Amino acid sequence: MGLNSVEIREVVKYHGTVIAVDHLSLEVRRGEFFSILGPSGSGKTTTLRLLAGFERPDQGEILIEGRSMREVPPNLRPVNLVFQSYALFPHLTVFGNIAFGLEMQRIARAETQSRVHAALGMVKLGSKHDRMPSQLSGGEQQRVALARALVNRPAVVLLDEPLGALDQQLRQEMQVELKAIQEQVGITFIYVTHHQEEALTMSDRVAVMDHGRVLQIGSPQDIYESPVSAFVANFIGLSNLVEGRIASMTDARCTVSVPDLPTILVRRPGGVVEGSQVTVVLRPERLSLARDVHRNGFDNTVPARIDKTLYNGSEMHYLLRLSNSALWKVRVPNSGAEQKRFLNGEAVFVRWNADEGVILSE
Amino acid sequence: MRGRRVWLLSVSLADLLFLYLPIGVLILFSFNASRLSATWQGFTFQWYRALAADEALMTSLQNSLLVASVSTMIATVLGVSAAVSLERFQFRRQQVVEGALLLPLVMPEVMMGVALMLFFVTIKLPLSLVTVTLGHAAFNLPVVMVMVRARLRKLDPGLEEAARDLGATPWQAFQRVTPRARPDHRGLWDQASADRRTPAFRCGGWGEPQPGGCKPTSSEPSLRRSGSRRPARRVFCLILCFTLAFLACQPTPEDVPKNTPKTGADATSRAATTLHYFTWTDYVSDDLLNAFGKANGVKVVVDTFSSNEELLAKLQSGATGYDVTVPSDFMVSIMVKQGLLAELDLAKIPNVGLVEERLQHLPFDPENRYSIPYLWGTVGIGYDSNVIPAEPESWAVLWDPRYKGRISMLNDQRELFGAALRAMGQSANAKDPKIIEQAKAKLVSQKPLVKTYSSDNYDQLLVSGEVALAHGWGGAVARAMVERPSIKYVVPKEGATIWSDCLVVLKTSRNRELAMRFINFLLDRDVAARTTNRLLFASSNREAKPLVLAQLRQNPAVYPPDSTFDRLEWITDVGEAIKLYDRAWTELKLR
Repeated sequence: MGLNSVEIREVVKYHGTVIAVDHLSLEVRRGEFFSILGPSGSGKTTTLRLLAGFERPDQGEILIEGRSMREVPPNLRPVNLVFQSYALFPHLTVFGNIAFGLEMQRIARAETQSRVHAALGMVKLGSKHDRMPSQLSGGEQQRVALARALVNRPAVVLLDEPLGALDQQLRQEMQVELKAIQEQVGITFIYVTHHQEEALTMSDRVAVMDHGRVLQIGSPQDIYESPVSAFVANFIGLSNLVEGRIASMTDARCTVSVPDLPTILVRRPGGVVEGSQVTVVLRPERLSLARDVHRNGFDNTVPARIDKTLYNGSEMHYLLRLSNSALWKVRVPNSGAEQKRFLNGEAVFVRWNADEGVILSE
Repeated sequence: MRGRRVWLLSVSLADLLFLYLPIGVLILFSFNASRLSATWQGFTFQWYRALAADEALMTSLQNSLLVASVSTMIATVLGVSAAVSLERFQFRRQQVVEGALLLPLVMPEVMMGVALMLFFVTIKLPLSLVTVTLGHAAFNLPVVMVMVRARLRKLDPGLEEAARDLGATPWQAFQRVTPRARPDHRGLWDQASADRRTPAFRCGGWGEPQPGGCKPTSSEPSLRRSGSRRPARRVFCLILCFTLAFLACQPTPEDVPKNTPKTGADATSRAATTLHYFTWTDYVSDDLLNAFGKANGVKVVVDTFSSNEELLAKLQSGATGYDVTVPSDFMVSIMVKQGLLAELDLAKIPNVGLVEERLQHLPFDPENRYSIPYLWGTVGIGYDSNVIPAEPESWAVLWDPRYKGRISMLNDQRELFGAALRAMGQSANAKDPKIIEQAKAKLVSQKPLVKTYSSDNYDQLLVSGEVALAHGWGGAVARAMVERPSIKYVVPKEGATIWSDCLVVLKTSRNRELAMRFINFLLDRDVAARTTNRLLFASSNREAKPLVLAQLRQNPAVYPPDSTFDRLEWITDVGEAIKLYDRAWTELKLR
């Protein structure tokens, strides 16, 4: 066996006449926390169901632990799925739910007992083994669903938006916990979500999908810092996209001229030539605002006017109108009452360094 | 706010009363000492005691339980499979299949029943518990399907997938998860069986007596700890018992007390052989049958019909198991033609030599090869002389508008047309289509005057005064005379039917020898005299006549006077013309 826990090779899946998965190829390494990130309809859940065996590929092949899954039904695959709806058996207790898979494998009762209790301990539900699912909170049900998958010691745990039904706070706690559990058990996790923050927080690697295709695979940092397309940039987080033309280049930087704006200095990516049309991505949290024009060491300064302000506690969100009438978003961390605020209609300067901008390679 | 609650509460209470008051009355009257359900004569448990002793009832209970459980199993297996495939899979023409499966729900039950019967007869499957069971399964299948589908639709399909994902085979997933997983922790099976009690209760059956069948609950998973439905079950079964008790206390046609104690020895000996006697509604006398049963160590089971056409229809539709029956003269010839009758072994029926001269060598069976006359008489008019002082001479009185709403006519095709034909001066055996058509028109014109077409209870209507004129068999009119002396009987001047009901053995009989003995027994002088005294129909045994009560011997309704014989006519088989009668009869009924 190689390093890969899961290999998806050129898989195509149609739903009727609609292509759900379009020549998808992926490799997931053993023990990796791998996320598939995409908007709804991007094919990510279908990919998961193909792995679980609920759907069969029209073309291509799936290997799990080096073994072809072509003729293997769901019950014989070394994977377990954590459902978005949890799909806990309502007529069984927590214990019964978690023991179900072991029962199906005809594991001895004593071993079942100890494994179920170990799994319950892992998800911190030790005392609730005799509850019915309807007596549990959403977070607790989530933990049971996870324990029900982990207890079988599968090669891969598949998670289908498992945190989607939880509130914001619980979701953030669970993100940390999920990651901790995954590191503890060392099982490969494939995690499907449309929530970029979840994907970035927990994953070792992320695949961004749209229309059944993988757009980019990489570490969270790669994806965030160096999106390969406007779609990825936008989907991975709020972005300001600026279109322009490369006016000149040095070894490290290039100058991008944008109609009706001052020229912009950006780090030079590989494979661009002078005069080519490019898109520059500027992350809102990487921009800062000032009332005066002093450079203060920033490479770029662009005048703008505050269009809207939004206060969300930890940050100030500003919407700016630029001289070329484009709208930019800027996020400023809330550093205390001393901090100066900008008012609607106020004239400001947006400032950033050349390294903060990314030129999309497409 | 408060007012509204009170109002809602009272409406709910009223609803409950509306639903349960009749059942309450039923339960109450199962403790009624009186046989009649309308009057209360004190509290008793006797019907419950009678219940256990009533073998017929116990047999039907057994049958009901058997039919209910087997048909439920069939319907459940097929219905659940259909529901699962419709709900979980998509296939071409799914809607057509679905519609076809649901059609029986909206189709009138009678239609379905008739269709089933015709089908069974066509494929030559004899009507029996098997066909009843199959019929019920067919009725119940769509019900099961609809309910199971509704449950499945509410069920998260993820549950089955989760089970599959956790290592369950498709069958394990279905078995372990699908039927049980419901939000309120009640199993799908339970739900289905609970809801299905209603159809199972409707064990009407075809041919078999089936007083309400109760299906005991099936396959409750023992791990369920909610006991909440057990009391409901108990109540349900209690209601069943009350129902049975109530049925037990219904008057039987021959109002004979049934509480003769039955010894164990008696029961076993009677179990040895059973004679099935298929006869007219008012032709049974339980004490005579018991006497025969005791003397021969057999059990006599009686089933009844109320017209020749009904008898023929039942036999033609495949009803088997009857040994002896009693068709009228013309029906004997029809049944002979259809090969339904066995030849008699006259050596075993010595009483055939005692048949009245007038009833010997009758045209439909001159040598008594298949039949022997049993009871005989005429069809005339019973009338209340308080209402109609002068004896009506003619059949025309039945068309007299003065008696509108006070006339009853026989619900018997040939006799009814016979009355009209004779009123027209024709023979009751007319074959001319024009004449039959005229007779139909005449009967149509009479319809507004007629209170009821009945072959069973017109004697009661005469007694109660609800009708003043009844077209009927002499014996029944004679029975009315006993209770209301102003009732009289006339054979009109245009003529009337002379009839004889004849004992025959059916070809399908499995006990022919016993059947011959039974026929000889019924024709025995003493038995015949007792029969006439009880039923008020003249016996064919000429030696019995002197033993009959004098007032019956002289009653023209029982023994036709010699003076009337020249205007009496036998009904004969009209051959192909019967189709004209059939059509005219149907048209008349549909008007």
